[in-house]
Amino acid sequence: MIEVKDLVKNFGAKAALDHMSFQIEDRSVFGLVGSNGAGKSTFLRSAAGIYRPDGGEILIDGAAPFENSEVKGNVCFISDYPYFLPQATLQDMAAFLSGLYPRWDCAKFKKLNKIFPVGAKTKISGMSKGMQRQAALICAFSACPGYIFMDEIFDGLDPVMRQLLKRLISDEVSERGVTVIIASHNLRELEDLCDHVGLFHQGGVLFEKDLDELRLGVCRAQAVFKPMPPREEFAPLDILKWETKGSLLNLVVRGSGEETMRKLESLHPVFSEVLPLTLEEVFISEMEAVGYDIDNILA
Amino acid sequence: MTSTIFSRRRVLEFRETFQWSLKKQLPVMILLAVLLFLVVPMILMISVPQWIEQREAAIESAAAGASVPAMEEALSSSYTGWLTSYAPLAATVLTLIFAPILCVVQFGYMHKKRSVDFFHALPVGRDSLLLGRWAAGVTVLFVPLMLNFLIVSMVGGAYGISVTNASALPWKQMLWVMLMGAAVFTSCIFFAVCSGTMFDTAVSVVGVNAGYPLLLFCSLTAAKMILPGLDFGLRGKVGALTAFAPFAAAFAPFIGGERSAGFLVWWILLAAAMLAGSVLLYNRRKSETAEDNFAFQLPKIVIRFLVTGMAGIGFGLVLNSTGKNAFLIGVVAGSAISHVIIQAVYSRGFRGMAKSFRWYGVFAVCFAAFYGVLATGMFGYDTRVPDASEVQGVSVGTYFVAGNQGSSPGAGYYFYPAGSGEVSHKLDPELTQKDNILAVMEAQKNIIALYRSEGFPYHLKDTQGETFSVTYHLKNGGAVTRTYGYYDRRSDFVEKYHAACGEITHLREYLESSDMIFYLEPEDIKSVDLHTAVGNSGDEKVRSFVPDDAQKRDLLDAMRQDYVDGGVNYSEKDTPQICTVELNFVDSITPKSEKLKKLLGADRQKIRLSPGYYTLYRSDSQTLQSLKSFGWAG
Repeated sequence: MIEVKDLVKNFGAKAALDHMSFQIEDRSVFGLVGSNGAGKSTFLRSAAGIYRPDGGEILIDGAAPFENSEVKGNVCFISDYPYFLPQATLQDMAAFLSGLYPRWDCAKFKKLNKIFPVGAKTKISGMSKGMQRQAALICAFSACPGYIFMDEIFDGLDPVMRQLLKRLISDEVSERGVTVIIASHNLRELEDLCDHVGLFHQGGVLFEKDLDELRLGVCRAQAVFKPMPPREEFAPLDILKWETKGSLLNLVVRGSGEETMRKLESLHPVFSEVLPLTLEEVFISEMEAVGYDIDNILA
Repeated sequence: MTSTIFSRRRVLEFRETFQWSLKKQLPVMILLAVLLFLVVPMILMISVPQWIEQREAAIESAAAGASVPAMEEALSSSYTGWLTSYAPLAATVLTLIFAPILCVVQFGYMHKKRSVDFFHALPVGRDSLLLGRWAAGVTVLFVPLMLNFLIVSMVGGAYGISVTNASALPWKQMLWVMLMGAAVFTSCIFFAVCSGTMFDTAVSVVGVNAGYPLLLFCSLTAAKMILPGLDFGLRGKVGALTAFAPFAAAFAPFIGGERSAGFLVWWILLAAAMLAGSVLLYNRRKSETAEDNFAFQLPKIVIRFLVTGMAGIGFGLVLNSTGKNAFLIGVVAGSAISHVIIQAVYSRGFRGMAKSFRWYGVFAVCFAAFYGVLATGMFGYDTRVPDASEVQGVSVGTYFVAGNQGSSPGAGYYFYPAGSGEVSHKLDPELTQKDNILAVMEAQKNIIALYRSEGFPYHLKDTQGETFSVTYHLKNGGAVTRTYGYYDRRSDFVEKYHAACGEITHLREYLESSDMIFYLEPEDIKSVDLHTAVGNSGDEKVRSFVPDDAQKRDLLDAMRQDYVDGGVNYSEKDTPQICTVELNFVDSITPKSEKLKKLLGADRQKIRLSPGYYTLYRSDSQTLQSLKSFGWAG
């Protein structure tokens, strides 16, 4: 389990992580979403033991990862721009990492080498961005860690490789009980893969929820009113977004679909319906609720 | 239990890092080994047959009467010279080129965010990571050195050549190069840890290695030029000047002959301290400082101070001769410009320039204190003359002072251990008679009064070559030394200065202890060369003689008498010189006289001397009479 307690990380005067607290359960795929500069990458680096927290703590299985080789031996971090040793081939990387990670699995490395179309004897520096990510994934999965942290991992992968990666992650979670954290702006991919999502904003966590719960907790409602009732009459609804086009009302509402429908019906619309939201729509709605919307940015 | 597991794990991490780094640097190690082979053992292999050839030719010509050392002795001498000069110098140059390159290759990862993410996420502690890579780096430097010096020993052994003194043994030379290679490598790592980019690391390494010695040199030179009597004796103190500059210190044995035990111990300790400091700082280094200027600000502050001070005082000294107050104008201009430049280099522009001038203020305060203390006599330093009752003896040096009839440095003035080129002793006349000590004190007081009358507080003056120095050896074991430079001053100052010096240089005790002829025995003389001018052209004619024992004794007695009487090396105005006597000494002199034994002190080793030159000016001198009686003076 990963426990984040009052975690603080400053870069100069700016707090990248500002008293952040939450938990990530074992055997879960946790999606980190948030605006640019929200602190997602900083959080992953802190969790991987790269950054020393300036306050609070982050614990992996009860131990802080910073300068703790035992914890780090059970963690693999793939950064947004993976690094490889100069002039190294995938085979060189395997030779290097196998000496450091206690559970390195050579058979798995060979198997993954066959699955991903990456030449084991080709210099990684000469590979494309997507191929380099595949190389990083092969290394990370071969190390057989209990925790895998990935930053923008879908970036550069083609659709087939994305599907393959998702399947591999699912297998790792179900077979080995691995905990995976993925920070990404690609909400569509996260939606398919994650069971939990945490929304970061300005160094804090807006919420951290089960994905299904999240999707069920917010919905889109459409209704036609003739005439349109005054806005005050919609007070029972927890409205995140309000939009009208003539007599058509578009709402994003926090709450279950059934409950929202019932409250809308009480206002006697000509027509009404409730639709589930995609993760991207939830993200945009939640961010708009805290003032991070395009109108605000342009203003 | 936990700590045992922890340390075992650290050892494993160290081993993995070391082995991997070494494997990756194997090509560099091979390259260094090959280059070292080309410039060290191969040169020896080429040189030895040439030495043999030259010696054989010399032995052949010896049949015509010339005296030459035996083959074995000559080869040993050449081999020893090669081992103490060329071999370590060439190896040092190559090692010092590879050391910073290795630092860049091994520790460049600290300065890129991507590589920092990778290495700091690995299950390897930072201390193991740094020490493993450091160990691999020094192995890459050391193994080629060991191999090549082993080959050197084998080549020497194959020709049956031995060294003439133990300090020249190949492994000792090798250890020196290894020590300085490790020190340079470690210092580069230290600055790499403190810096955020390799460019800043390079600026810091250059800043310290140039800034420290030059600031010290300029400051001490300026101090000597401000305060009468002050002389730090920079000549021969290369060790102090390079104490924090490993690149320069590596060449200290070749520049200033510095290879004392203290110097070696200092560099062992400093290298160890730099390594410990690197580990400590690396553990505290924030990963996010990669690609910033600095991870730790202190080196930047120190280097900026060193460069500002060095450029300021240095520019002041350069401008000094151009006019009054030029020194201070130069200091202000040089320091301000260099501060702006170094700050702009560190900041990659002029951002934060105004704020940085707080640190310029620190330099300004330090310089004002430095100048103020010296100009006001450094708390009575300028006027201090010990009480006569405290003094056991006084050594006097009057080098280059006009009117001094003592032999000048270079003319047999220095004593060398036999078979070595390093100076072991120099001849400073020592006075122990109470009246003579009082005379020296009086002369010094006169000189102090003379300087004070020139203007107080003191200001920086240009120095000339003449130097008068006194060292009082106190009964409590201490010593008080004052050295007075003879400045470009008014003619009445010069006259009074010479008069004060003359009070000492004409003392009999001074004369009898100021030249090596008073320390040697007749059997120490090997041959005598007479140099005479021929005709008006001034062309020199040299004739050599090998005196017998009686002639040696007569000549030495006559020269001693003439020396005391002022008939040798001393010209009355417009007196033409008659001839110059060149005394050549035996290659190895065993100290016999009590006077020489006392001079050499505890190390009464065999010594050698350069030839001594004595110019005769008076036709009635006893030396000339002796030479005539031998039938040598034509």
